[in-house]
Amino acid sequence: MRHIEIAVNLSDGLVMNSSEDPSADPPGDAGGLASLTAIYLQQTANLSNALLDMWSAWAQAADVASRQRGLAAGKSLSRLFAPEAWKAGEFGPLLEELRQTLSLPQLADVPNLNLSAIDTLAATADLIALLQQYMSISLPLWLSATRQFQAEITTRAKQGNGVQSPGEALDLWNGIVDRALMEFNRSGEFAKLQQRLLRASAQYRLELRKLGERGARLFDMPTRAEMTDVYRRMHDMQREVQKLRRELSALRHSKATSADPTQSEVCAGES
Amino acid sequence: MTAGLTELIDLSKRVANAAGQLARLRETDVEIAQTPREEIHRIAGRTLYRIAMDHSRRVQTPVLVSYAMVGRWNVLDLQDDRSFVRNLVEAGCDVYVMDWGHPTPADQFDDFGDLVNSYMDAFVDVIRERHGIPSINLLGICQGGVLSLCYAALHPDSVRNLITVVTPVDFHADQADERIETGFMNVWTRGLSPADIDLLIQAMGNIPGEVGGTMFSLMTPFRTLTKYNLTLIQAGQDRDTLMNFLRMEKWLADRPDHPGAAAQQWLKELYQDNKLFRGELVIDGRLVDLSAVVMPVLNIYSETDTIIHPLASKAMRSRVGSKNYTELPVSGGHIGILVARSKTLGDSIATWLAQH
Repeated sequence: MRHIEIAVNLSDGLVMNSSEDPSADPPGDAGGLASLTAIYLQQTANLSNALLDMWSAWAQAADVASRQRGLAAGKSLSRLFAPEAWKAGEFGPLLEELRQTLSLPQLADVPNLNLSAIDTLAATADLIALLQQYMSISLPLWLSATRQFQAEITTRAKQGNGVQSPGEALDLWNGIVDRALMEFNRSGEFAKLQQRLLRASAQYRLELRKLGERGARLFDMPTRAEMTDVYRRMHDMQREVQKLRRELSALRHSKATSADPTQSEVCAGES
Repeated sequence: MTAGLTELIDLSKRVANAAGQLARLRETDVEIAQTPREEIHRIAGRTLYRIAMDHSRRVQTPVLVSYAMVGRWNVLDLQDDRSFVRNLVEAGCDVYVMDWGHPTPADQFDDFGDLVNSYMDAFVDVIRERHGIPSINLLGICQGGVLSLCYAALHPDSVRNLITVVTPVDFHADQADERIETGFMNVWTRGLSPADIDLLIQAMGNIPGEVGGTMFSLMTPFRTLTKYNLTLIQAGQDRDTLMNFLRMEKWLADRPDHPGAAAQQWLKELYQDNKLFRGELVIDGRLVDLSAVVMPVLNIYSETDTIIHPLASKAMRSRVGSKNYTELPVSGGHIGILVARSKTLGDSIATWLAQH
């Protein structure tokens, strides 16, 4: 007969051992029935406990994911869709934050989840947002110039020195716009925007380069990074050649000087 | 009302005149750098030319002209009657010109060390060898002036006389005398962080010529806005003026890329950190000590230069070690003084050289 021994250990889970025991009570015996009932109940309890443990583990995982990633991702997403973010531009850091939040450790034999498209999107969005911002900053400048022009026309008219011809008006307008633009181009506001535009343009170009490099690898063509590496090596070699030429020239010079002092002038000219 | 209509009709007539003049011209009609020259030496896309004109010599030691890398040297030979190099030859100099060429991505790692100690030094050596002389006259313009100054400091024995034209030395001098129309490049560069410049170079490799063009457009926004309407209409009223305009346009359109590593030094170490003036610039591991510039120096600057503040040029006086330092203020714009019809600048340089 098969005897099943079940030990319950709440901490370690269900442990089942089985063995053949010829002296065990036959089925139908009251004591045996009670024992089986107890075993059944025990098994049910164990199963429930195991299920509880599993759900608890999942709940913990969900909690960690929510706290470690969900909250951060939610915050990032809410900032991403906030109108202020679009107005201010510079999505790069925000989307990088999102990419970091969603990234997982790399596994050797599992294809890596490629989130680099986020970077390209970020760079594009940044550039568009900053160009819009540039427009929004420069438009009031033209309005201001227009107001200055109108004020100047009015002042001149009041002084009896009104603008007499379209040409004169054009000269006046050009003078006002010229000054307004130069002042704007030297302002801190413009400098800050220029700086951000430069960063966004450079970042956009770098991201495009990454896309291009993926394409180049696909078609087995040299990438920009590989070419840059070749250029660096060429440059280093050119410098080395130049250095060797100079050393050779110096050697020839010293040799010529020791042999015939009048030759020194000629050799000094060698490159 | 009538005056306005008359003016409008006149404008329409002027536009038609300009359109008519333009319709007669093709791209090949607009030529620059027509003064005869011969190629003397070439290294990796950089070329040494000699202006091949027979003329009496007042100055026996040849002059090597080094222009900036942000534009082509041929602005110095825009047309026969507006040619700086031709004027120098006619004033009695034997003139060589360095052409920095059109740097490609392969040149992106060229820094000041390469420009000064490789290319410039090799060209100086070629001229010395050709003429059998120990030193030459070096004439640098704008950025080419800075490179010439560095060369003179590092190779003083190879330079007999140094002439600098609209050359910045103190890159922060504009702060002492702020003018709305001057020093935009200084303000713009100081508004960036060193990391911004690194990022730009990382992304671009070389600085595209178009970036330089945009910078110059921002310096003179009004001129940029009106160039192809008011200015072109005005220039189009007669062929000669139009040709002048178009030659300058041809030169402007030919903006070479700037080698990235040199641009990094130019913007960070000079514009931002002012290392040349502070005596902290290091090229190829050697400190550029301007007190080593002991040969005679002629420093030419313009009070109305909108790109290089006159104080930035005049600061040279306090830094060079030369006991024979002369300043020559000239009137005109940064490029204007080089493309002027007047031969005064060339004559002044030749006269000074003949005396030294």
